[in-house]
Amino acid sequence: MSVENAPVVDVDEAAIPVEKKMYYRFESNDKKEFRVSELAIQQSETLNRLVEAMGYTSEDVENKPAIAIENIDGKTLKLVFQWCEHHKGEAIPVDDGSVPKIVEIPEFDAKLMDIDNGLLFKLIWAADYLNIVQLLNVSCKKVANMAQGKTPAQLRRVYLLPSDEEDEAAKRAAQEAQDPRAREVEEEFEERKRQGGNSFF
Amino acid sequence: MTSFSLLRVPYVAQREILCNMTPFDLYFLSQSSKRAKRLVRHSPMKKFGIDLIINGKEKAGQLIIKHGNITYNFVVVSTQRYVDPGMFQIDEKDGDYYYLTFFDDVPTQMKVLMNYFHEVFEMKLSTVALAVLNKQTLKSIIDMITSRQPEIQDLKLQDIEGPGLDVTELLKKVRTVNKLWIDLKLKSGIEEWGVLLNVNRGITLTNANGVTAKLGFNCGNNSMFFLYVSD
Repeated sequence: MSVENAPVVDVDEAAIPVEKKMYYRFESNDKKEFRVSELAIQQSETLNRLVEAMGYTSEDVENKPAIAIENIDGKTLKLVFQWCEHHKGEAIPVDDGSVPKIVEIPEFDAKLMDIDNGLLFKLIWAADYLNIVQLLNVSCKKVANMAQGKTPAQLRRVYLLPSDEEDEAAKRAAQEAQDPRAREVEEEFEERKRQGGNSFF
Repeated sequence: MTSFSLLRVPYVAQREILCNMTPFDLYFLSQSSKRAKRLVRHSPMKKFGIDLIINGKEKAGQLIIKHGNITYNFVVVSTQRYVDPGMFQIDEKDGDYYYLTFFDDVPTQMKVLMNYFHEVFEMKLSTVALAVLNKQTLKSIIDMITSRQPEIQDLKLQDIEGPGLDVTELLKKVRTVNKLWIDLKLKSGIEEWGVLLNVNRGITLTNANGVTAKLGFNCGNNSMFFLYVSD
């Protein structure tokens, strides 16, 4: 039957049961609470699986304690959930292994990530922990963009990479910080070897 | 200049950051320290091919890093201003080109760069185009190629100095998969590994598999050429 020939039926919209949107409650490690829509949660594979496994009803969501996210603070979680709400319903990108990777940062995301690098660092950690693919993509793109047009020396400063000399010094310091007794034993062993001793013990 | 601790982000994020960098950025990052050099091994650079172009007449070389239609060009020029080998200056142009000015002569520096890309990023040569080079330089580049890889997509040799130049080692050891274009004088007696025909210079042939060879050379009064047809 074509669309034109389909019977027209007046529907009393008030009679149709409207599905109530469910908002889950989450709590950050500094006890800040957030209400997040079911659709927004789908952007996070980790949270989506968690709420599916919990099987909460609308009543449970209201009556049971908020779901604790112990690794993330309130400031970071607020950004995460703002991002999820804005992008709710969008398809989750699949990495097709194409090179170079083309990631565009939408205006909303650019504004959201107009933050200091300390918070950006936490946002990346949170995106990785909560497995929010597209948030991880755009936040990593922002970090990658910091490299543009920089010399090797500038890149070392931008990405806080130790120089070869600093790495060597840290390695020496770590060796010296070994357990003193273990170092003594090691030195004694070496000394006995030099003296041609048959057995250490 | 703001800073971000790249070494402290989770591995997945670290890899994602490197995947979003251009080959220029990754090259310069790898130059910043030994640890950075180890870090960039996680980048997808090995998926890129390299075109190596050296023209002795222009005293400049070009490394084109490419994947599909996307290319990044490193143009190498030489200067005597720097005293330390390996020291270089970067000048960017139009975003797609980087001019690198080195102390060493262009072919030597191109070899250094090529070795670097191979060792650090596991990248391979896709195309080699060599023109107006002396025998010694050509030999050193051929040695580099034959020691690195058993096949190459395209090979173009043009106006190499000196009669009777022997590039048979290169052509025997490195299989040219797609296009082979030779425009120079070669030693005779190479029938053992090719098809011997009389042709004009620069003729283009395509075999049944669609593999094209554009080649030709002069040997005394006789025009001779060989054709190495890939499988």
